[in-house]
Amino acid sequence: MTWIDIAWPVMSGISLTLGLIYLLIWVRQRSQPAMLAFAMAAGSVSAIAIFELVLMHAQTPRDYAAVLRWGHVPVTLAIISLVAFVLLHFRAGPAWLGWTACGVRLACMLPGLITGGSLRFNDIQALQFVDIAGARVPTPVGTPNPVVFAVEFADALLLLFLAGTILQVFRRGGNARQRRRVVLVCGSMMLFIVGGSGWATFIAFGILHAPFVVVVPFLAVVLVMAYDLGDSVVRATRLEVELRDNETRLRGTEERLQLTADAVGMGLWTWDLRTGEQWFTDTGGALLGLGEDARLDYAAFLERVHPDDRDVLLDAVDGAVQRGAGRFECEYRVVLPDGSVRWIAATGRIGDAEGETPVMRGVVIDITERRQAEERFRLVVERSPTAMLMVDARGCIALANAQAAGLFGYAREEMLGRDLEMLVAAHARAGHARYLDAFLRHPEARAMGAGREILARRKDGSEVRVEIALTPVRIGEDRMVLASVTDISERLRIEQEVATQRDELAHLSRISLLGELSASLAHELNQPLTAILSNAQAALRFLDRDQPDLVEVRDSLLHIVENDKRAGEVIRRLRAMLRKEQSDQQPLLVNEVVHDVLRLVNSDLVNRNVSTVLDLAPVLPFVLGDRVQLQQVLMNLIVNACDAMARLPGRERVVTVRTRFDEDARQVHVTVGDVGSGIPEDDIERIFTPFVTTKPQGMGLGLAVCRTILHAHRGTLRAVNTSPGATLVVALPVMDGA
Amino acid sequence: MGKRACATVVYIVDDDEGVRDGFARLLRSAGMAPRPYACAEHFLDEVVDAPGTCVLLDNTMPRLTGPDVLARLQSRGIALPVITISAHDDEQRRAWARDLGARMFLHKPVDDQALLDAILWVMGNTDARGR
Repeated sequence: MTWIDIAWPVMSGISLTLGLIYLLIWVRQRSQPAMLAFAMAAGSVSAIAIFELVLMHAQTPRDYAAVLRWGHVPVTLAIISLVAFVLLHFRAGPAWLGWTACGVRLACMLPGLITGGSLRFNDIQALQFVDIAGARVPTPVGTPNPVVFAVEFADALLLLFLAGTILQVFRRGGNARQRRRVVLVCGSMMLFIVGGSGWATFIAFGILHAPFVVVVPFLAVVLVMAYDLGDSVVRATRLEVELRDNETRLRGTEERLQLTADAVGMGLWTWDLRTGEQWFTDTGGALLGLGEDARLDYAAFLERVHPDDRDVLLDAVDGAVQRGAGRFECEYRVVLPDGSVRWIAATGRIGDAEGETPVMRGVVIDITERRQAEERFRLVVERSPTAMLMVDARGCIALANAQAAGLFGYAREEMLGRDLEMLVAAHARAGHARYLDAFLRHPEARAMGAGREILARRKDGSEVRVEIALTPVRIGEDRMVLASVTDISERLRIEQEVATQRDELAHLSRISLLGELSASLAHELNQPLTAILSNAQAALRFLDRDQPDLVEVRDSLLHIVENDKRAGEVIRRLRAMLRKEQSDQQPLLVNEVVHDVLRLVNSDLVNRNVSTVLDLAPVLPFVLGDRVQLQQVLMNLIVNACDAMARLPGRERVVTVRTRFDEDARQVHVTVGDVGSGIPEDDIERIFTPFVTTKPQGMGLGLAVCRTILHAHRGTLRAVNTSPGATLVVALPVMDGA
Repeated sequence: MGKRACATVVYIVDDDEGVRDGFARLLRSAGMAPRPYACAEHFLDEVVDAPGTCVLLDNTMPRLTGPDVLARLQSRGIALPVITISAHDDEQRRAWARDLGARMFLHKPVDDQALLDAILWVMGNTDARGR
């Protein structure tokens, strides 16, 4: 028993074991056919080891030759397996070279087997025993077979093949690891082929007297291959773990996505565009009224869609698929099995094709509420008692309610889509266009009262004054403007009426006032009449004299004329006051009005023993007003002042009339002050209320009417207590440009 | 009507210029000597109590009314005959005037004869009664 008897079986065992392991792996997992090739190689090498062992136990040359002969079979097998392995494992290499090498070997070996010759030896004459580390081992002595050159040639081809493989892998541009591998495996193979082949050849040519020990290099190659394969196995396992992790993670992400979508009531869907099959999440299915198995095909899906919306949906689908938009958006109704109708908004996108199948994925949401809200809004606008129009960003009418149609005299359809300008009177269009434009650029809601007046045009051409209020509104994606239109012709008419009535009231009040003053007015006329009578009678007397004093007569007549005119003035002013005409606004100087009034009330003042103090500003700007009405106001105030002082002794009765210009407020102030008992604080405002009076015969309209007149003049009237007595203050705005 | 040796002096107190002028002319045409005053204060300052004088007093004047003037005259002891002329005529004023010593109460517009008669009567009475 020598060490060789231990070593060679061990080597065989190692090779066999490795081969079996990978064979088993390959059987379980057919992904790497290289493993099968390896198993074959390992098996062959194992056989080679056994053959070599037997060879080294050969006693006779004939035995030696026989074993040697048959020993070539596993070698050839091994080489074939190697070539197969390289090709399968690296998926590279000039296959023809490899197979040619194998072919040549086979060709060399086969005849030898049949004829009885040997590959390397024609015949073996003797055995020469050598001693290797204590073991007696035969070595062959004989004539070499010239075929051995063909074998060398085959080996050379093999080398080329391996080199070629390395080159190809390098050229393929693999990473560093791959290159390392191919160099390791093929390089070691090359090395050992050279070594082994050279060894065998030297033995054949008698240069070297040694046993055939090809198994050593072959085993080395086997180990290298096993190592490389092992590396792959480890990597494959690691990849598999990674893949599983990724899959888990991906599934986790998918689940979260679905949960989120479900939480917000969104359904997710997928549509295989090729087969037409559709798939929905539970939520999605529920939205469409599908059962548990949420799968549909296109036709079934269309069945669910509301007939009126099918065309829209088909068009949207076409747009996405045929016309290549890639994106799908549509709002449509579905009719659920129980008959109820829901509004659905669906969006989707054509996804990256998985393999060959184009797939569209998207979401569906229930927008029934939103649509109902929009519908409610539309109803509200429609039923509103005010005419309402909705105008889009281009200024075209998008919506008109029944009132609007009625107001403008059009049928609804005639108004939609038309330019808003057609409703505006021609000459007002420019201004309106600017206004609308400005509003669209800076939209902000404006309260009704702050609306704008405009002259509108009806279908029949008639014009009507309206007030419009604008509000910006968003409907879906569009920015629109909602306009409320109010016919204000009625309002204007009423305002006109009120103005007329106010004037009438002022007139009546004036007459009433003058009635109060009638006694004084009569007195006012009486004076000139007295003067005229005296003068006339004096003149007669002068004429009756023996020598008529014509100078005196002349004077008399002149004075008669003068007094007559005086009387005429009074009558004229009186007539003016009694006139019932609509207010006539003129530029006035307040001081003149004061003087007018004092002339009229002079007698009354005298009658009541009231003296006047005048404090008039020398220069006053013009005010715009009705002379008669303002005279009425002052007259009223002066009469009131006199009334207020009725209880005072005569000499104390003083009415002060002042005029001033208030520069800051741009107003002219006229004040009428008395020194009576003043106005109780509680009544300071009440006195201006109609029917409030302290006079037994009074109606209490005087001050109320005065205030109305002042308001119509854009002025104010108020009372102030000035101990003693009270002062009434009239404020009138200065005329523009004055 | 005859002329006297010295013309009758008639104070005319009336704030209205036209009326005053008219009366003055009228009295002149009747041969009297009118002395017109627009303002009662001035009249009171200058009035002289003399025979053959009388006063035409307007009842309604600012500041000092007719009755006030009468009262003043009385308080100074001037007993000149006073004829009150007024645009207003009511019982109250008449009574007032009478109480204060006015002899006559006339109403505008005044007829010339009525006025002259009134003056003579008032003067006559005074004379008859003496001073």
